[in-house]
This record gives sequence, structure tokens and C-alpha cells, in this order.
Amino acid sequence: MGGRGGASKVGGGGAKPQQAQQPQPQQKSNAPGGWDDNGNPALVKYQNQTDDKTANFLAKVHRDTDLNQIQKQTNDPYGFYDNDFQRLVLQLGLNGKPQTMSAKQFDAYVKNNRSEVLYRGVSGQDAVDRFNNSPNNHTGNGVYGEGHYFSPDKSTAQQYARMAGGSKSKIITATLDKSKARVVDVNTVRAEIQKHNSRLRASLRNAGSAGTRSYGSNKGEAQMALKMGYNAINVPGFAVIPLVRDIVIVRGK
Amino acid sequence: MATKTKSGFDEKRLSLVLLDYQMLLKAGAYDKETLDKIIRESKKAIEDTTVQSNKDAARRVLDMATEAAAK
Repeated sequence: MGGRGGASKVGGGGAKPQQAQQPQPQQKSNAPGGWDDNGNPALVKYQNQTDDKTANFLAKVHRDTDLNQIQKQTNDPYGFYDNDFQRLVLQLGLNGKPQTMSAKQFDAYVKNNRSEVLYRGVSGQDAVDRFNNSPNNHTGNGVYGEGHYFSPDKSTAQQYARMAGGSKSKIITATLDKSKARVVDVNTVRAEIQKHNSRLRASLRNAGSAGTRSYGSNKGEAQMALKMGYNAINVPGFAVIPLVRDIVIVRGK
Repeated sequence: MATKTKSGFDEKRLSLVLLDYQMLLKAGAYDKETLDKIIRESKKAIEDTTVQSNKDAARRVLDMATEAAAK
């Protein structure tokens, strides 16, 4: 599966990169998936909002998030790909980094936990470093929602890698941390989207200015999955899409 | 590879989107709505792209999606 998420020129307002609002302490998430990033107050608030309030919030995130400013403030060497899920992730502070295990530890983890090995083809070492070490969670886009597309099929990832980076391309080998990952089927997310009002559905579809409305547009599955309390989307036979990095274990050397 | 399609979409990104579509068609990971979108977008890409490899890829995607829709 492939990596998308290079530098882009973006505009926007002056929102700060940290969590947008700090609601009441001890607020509990009502999200059915149960994941709230250890009680992350901004995420809990997003999960508990009504449709109209969520639509208003997403519009505000779209309007006020200045990706360039956040990149500067956080000393992030990598530019953001301009999509609205990226803005949401930054406003909710979902920037945890993946864990890297030695190859030996990783192989043992996979064996002991019967975990699925996943592959992501990226353009080169910069993209590997961005995924592993960037202070922010850089998300790419795709037809099943934004996030980090991984394939269970290595040859598929290799095709994406060749397309993205030619001879410089790399493959990230990883698995999901079973203690942290909350995975939802894409069809469940799409069915949930249909249950919400038209204002929210329109806000979820808002894709930023990167042209994802032209090709590869999606319905905002990633935004809805977060609202539902999940941190990864499964597209059976095609892809596993972690929405955050800290549920990913990367196979190191 | 040229930077942008006639409508201003990044050609490199288009090549990855078209690969997405090939892969998900191969995997059978689509519903009717997704299939309709793939047909619509591959037709558009054939006209929109200025890069021969993307044109060829879009034609392949359209053929695959049309065949899948006929089943």
C-alpha cells in the first residue's frame, strides 16, 4: 500500500496545533468503539458532540487550522498534505509516534500475538522518517478515508513504492499493537455516516484543497471512525488504515 | 512526468489514485457506489491527464471496472 503525504502549500487561519478546546475534566466518551486516546479531552468532546455541533467544529477546524504555522511552531521538518482529516488530527492532538521493535522482537510479537504483518510502500527514506519520527501525525488520503494505508500484501506495497519513489522507494513493515488498536470495518463506518444528518455528512466530505474531490474522494470515513471511537479502518482484502501512529509497531533492524 | 492534469490535479497523485483503483478492483474491495465512482473518475482521467502512462492506467481501470460492473 502506498504513501501519500508530501509537502503542500496551504493557507488558513491561526489555530494552534495543540488540542483545540479543553472541556470539563473527567468527561467520558460515549463512542461505541471505546477508544478515546486515554481520555484525550478534545477527542472526547468531538466524540460526544451532536451532529450540528460536530459539523460546526469541523467547519471551524477547516477554517482556522493553518498547517504552515503548525509546521513552524512544532519544528516539523515535513510539510503537510492538505486534507481536512489532517487538520482534525492536529487539532485533536493525535500525534503519538509509532513504536519500533528490533526485527527479532517484532517477529516474536507477530508470532505470539498472531498479528497480521502489514506493508506500506513509500517514496523513500524521508517518508519512512516522517512516519517514524515526525512530531506530527502526517496523514495521506485515499478512497476509503484519510490515514496511513497499509496492505497485508507485500507485492501490493511494492507496486505503490515503485510508483511513488522508483529506485529510492522503501517499504515500512509493521503490525498493529493489539493492546491499543480499535479497528472498524469500512462498511460499518459508511453505514454510520448515513445515520447522521445532512450537515454533518457534508462536513465529513469536505476534503481540503488538495483536489481529493476531483479524484479519490471519500465520504470522511476517517473523521467518522474517530467519532465512533475507533483508530483504524479495515477494508477487507485491500487495506488496513491506522488513523494514528501510536497503534503501529514498526519492524526495525 | 508533467506536474498537473488539465484540471490542475497533481499527475503523480493521479497515478497513485489509479493504482488504488486497480488494487481495490483486483481485491474485489468495492460496492456499487465505489464502482460507479471509479468508472466516472477513470473516464475523466482519460480526458484530463496529459501523461501517457496515466492515460493507459486510466483505460485499464475503466476496463476492469466496466467488466466488474457487468458481472
